[in-house]
Amino acid sequence: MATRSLTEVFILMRNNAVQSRHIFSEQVSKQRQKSKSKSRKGVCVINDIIKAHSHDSLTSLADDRVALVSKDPEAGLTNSRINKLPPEWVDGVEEIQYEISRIQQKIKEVSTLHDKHLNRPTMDDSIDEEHAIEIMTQDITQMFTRCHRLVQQIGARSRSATSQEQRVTRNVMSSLASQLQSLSGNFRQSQSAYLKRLTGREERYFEHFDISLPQSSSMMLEDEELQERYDRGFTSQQMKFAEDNSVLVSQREQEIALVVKSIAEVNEIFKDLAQIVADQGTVLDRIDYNIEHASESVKEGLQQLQKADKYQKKNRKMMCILLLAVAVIVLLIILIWKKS
Amino acid sequence: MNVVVAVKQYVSRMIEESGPGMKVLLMDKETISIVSMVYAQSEILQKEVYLFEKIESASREYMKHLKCICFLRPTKDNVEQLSRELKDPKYGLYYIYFSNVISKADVKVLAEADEQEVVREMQEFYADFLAVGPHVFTFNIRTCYQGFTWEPSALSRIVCGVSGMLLAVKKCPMIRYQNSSEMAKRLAENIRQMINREAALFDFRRTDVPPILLIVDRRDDPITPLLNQWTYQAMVHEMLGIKKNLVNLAGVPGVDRDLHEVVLSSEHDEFYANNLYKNFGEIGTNIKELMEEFTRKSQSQQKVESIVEMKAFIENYPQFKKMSGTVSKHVTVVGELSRLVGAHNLMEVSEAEQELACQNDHSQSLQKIKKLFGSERLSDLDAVRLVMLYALRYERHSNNDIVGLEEMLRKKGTPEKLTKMVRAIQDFAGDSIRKGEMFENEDPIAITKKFFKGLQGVANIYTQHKPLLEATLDQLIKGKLREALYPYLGTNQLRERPQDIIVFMIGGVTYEEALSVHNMNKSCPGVRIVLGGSTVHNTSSFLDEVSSATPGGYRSRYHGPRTHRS
Repeated sequence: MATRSLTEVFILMRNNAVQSRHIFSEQVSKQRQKSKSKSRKGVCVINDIIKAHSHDSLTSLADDRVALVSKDPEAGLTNSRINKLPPEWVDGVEEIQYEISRIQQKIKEVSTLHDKHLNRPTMDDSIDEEHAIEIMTQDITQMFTRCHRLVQQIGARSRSATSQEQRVTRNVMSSLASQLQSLSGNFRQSQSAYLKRLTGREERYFEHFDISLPQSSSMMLEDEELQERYDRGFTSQQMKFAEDNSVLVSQREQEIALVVKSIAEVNEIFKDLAQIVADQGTVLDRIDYNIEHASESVKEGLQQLQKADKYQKKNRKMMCILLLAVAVIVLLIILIWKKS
Repeated sequence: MNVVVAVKQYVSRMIEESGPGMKVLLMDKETISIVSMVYAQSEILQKEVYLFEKIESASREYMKHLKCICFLRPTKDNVEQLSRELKDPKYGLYYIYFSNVISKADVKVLAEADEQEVVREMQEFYADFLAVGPHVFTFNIRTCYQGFTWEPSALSRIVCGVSGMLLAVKKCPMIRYQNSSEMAKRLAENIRQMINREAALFDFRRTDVPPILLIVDRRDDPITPLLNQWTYQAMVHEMLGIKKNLVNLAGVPGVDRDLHEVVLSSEHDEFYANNLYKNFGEIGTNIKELMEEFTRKSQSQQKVESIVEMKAFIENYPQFKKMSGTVSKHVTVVGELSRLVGAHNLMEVSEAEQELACQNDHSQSLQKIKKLFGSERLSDLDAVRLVMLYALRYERHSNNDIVGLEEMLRKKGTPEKLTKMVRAIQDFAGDSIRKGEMFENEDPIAITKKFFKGLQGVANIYTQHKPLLEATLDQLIKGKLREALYPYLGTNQLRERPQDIIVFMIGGVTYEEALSVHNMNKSCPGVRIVLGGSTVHNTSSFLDEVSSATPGGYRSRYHGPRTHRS
C-alpha cells in the first residue's frame, strides 16, 4: 500500500501563488497610482490596504470605504452562504453519537457485573448486585428509546430541507440506525446469555443441594393436613395470608406486564430501525447505484409533480363542466316552468 | 497480494485521515466504480461518510459543515473540475487523493485555485483498478485493439492502472512478455518506463525472489472466451452478464421488481463467496440446502408468542432479513440459468464444444455440429460459437468443411454480422498468429499425456478444457517457461522459481481463467498469483473485441444477456 504525500508541495505552491498574487496586485496599484486614476473601485481589498499604508490621506481612506462597500454584491451573498450555520439536526447527530458511546460503556459495565455476579457469588449481599444490574439494564433500555426518538427527530427536522440535504439525513439516519441495531443486538445477546447461565446455575444448585423438593412436598402435605383439619372456613390468619398472596400476585402481574411492555417497545423500535437501515447486499446498498439514481429520482419526482398538476387541472375542468351542466338543467327547468 | 484488501485499505485510510466529523466523498465516474466494487454503502456510512457525490454533477449544494474527501483519477478533466470547485468551495475542508501519479503542473493549477485555503491534504493513493476478486483485477476497457495495435487511450489507462496496482501491492517486478505480440512488448516497455520515471516510489524492500509481471495477449488463446461455462460465476457472466458485480435480471420472465438488478459480490454475500467456483450441479444442491435452512428459520420466525420467542426474533431478525434477500436472489439467478440451459440445449452444445477444444477427432466433431444444427433450440450465438471453434481447431486440417458450415449458418438464418465473425476470428487469432501450443497435438509428450488421460477417463466432460494460461503459469512456476517465447525485458533474469506472479492479459480475461488462478494459488504453497485483464469477457463481449480489432466486423448493440435472444 504505497502512498505519496503531496501536501507539502501543494502548500508551498499555494503560498507562492498567494505571494505572487500580492505582488501582482501591488504592481497594479502602483501603476494605478502613477496614472492617478481615481477609479479604484474594482480593486480588491488587500490592494486597498496596501494603498492605505503607502499613502495615508483622508481622501484615499474614504475611497477605500467606497471600494469596500461597492466591491460586488455577490461577495456578500457568498459570505452569508458560507457563514450559514450547519442545520439543526447536526446537533442531534452528535447527541446520538455521544449516547451511543455511553451505551457501549454501560453494556460493558453490565457485562462485567454479570460476570462478577456469576463467577463470584457472595452469600449475603448479592441482592445489591442484582439490583444494580437491574437498574443498569433499565437505563440502557431507556437510552435506546431515547436514541430512537432522536433518530426520528432528525428525520422530522430535515423534512423542509433541500433534496440533497435530505439525502444526507437519510444516510445519517440509516447509519445511526444500523449502529443502534447492532448494539441492541449485542445487548440482547449478552442479556440472554446471562439469563441462561443464571438458570443453569440455579439448576445445578438444586441438583447439588437437593432440598427444595422434599421441603415443598412436606409443606404441601402440611397444607393438605391443615386444609383437612380446618375445612369449614378460613381463620383470620389464613385470610390475611390469602390477602397477602393476592397482593403479591397482583404485584407480580404488574411487573410482568411492565416487562412485556418494555419488550414490546423495544421490538417496535427494532422494527422501525430495520426499516431505516438499507437492505444490505442489495442494489440499494451500492454506492454507484445510489449516485446514479439520486438525480434520476429527482427527475422522477418532478415528473410526478407535473402529472399531479395535470390531474388537478383536469379535475378543475371537470368541475366546470359539471357546474355548467347543472346550470343548463336548472335553466331548462325554469324555462319549462315559465312557459307552462 | 490481495487486491480487494489493498483498495479497501486505501479507502478506509483516506476516510480516517480526515478525522471525526461528517464527510462527503467526492468521486469521478471511474473511482465511483473502484470504490463500489469493494465497499457497500452501509459500510462506508459507518465511517461517517454521509454523502456520495460525482464531481461532474452540477447541482451540488453548499454544505459547509461537511468535510470533503476527493478521490479522483488525475485526468485533465478532473483537475479542471476540481480547480473550479476549489475556487468556489462547497464544503468545509478538502482532503484530496489522486488514484495515480499527478504531474507537478496540475498540482500547481490546483494550488493557484485554492484561494480560500480549504485544502488540508493532498496525496496519491494508488487504487487505480477495479478489484473483481482477491486475485483478479480489471479496468473495464471493452476494446483495446485498434486493428492489431493499441488503442492509444486504452494503452495509457492500462499502463497507469497496472503500475498503480504494482504500487498498491508494493511490488517492483521483473517483466516478461509474450514475444509474438507486439502489443505485449509495447505495454511492457511502457510500464518499465513508468517504473524508471517514478523510481523513488518503486523503491521497496528487496525480497529474496523478485516478483514477476507476465504480460500475455488474448490472441494466443481465443478458445477460452468462446466456451460455455459451468461454474457459477463464469456461468452467470456467460449467460446473464456480470457488470461491476451487478447482474441485470430485468429480461428474465416473471421476475420480481426488486430483483431487476442484483449484486453478486463475494465481499458481501457469503453464499456467493462460497459457491462462485462450484459447478452447476453442486450449486443446485447447495441452493437446496440454503432453501431448507431458510424455511426452517422462517417457520420459527412465524410464531412469536412468548417472550422468549420474541427475544429470539429480535436477535435474529437482521440475519433473517439478509438471508431472505440472499435466498430469493440466488434462487432467481439459478432458476434462470437452468431455464436457459434447458431452452438452448446447452448440455449437448457444451459437450460438442469441449470435444472440439480438447480432442482431435475431426469427423466425429463435424457430425456432432451438423446434428446440433438440426435442432430448433440451438441459438444463433451458440451455432456461430461452434463453427468458430471448429474453424480455429481444424483450420489446417486437409478436408475441413468451414465453408460448408458457414453455408449452413446462412441457411439457418443466422444474422450476417454473426456469420462474418467466423472469418474475423480466424484473422484475429488464426493458426498463423498463435504461438502457444493451444491444442497441444504435435508434441509427443502431450500425446502420451493425453493417452494416459484417456485411460483415466475424464471426471466431467463439461469442464475438460483447461485454459492456455494455466499451462503457461505452470511452466513459469516450474521455471520452464521458454525464454524465446516469453523473453525478459532488460538483462536481468530470474534464476529461482518465482513466488509472486502478476499476469496481465491484453484483450481481457475470463472467469474460467480466474478459476484456474484461484486453484493454482490454492494448490501451490508459496506461490501467489494475481490475474489482471483489460476487462472480463464473456462470449458476446469477446466478439465485440474481435470485431473492433478486425476491420469490417460486426458490433452487437448489447453486451451479454442471452435472455434477449430467446
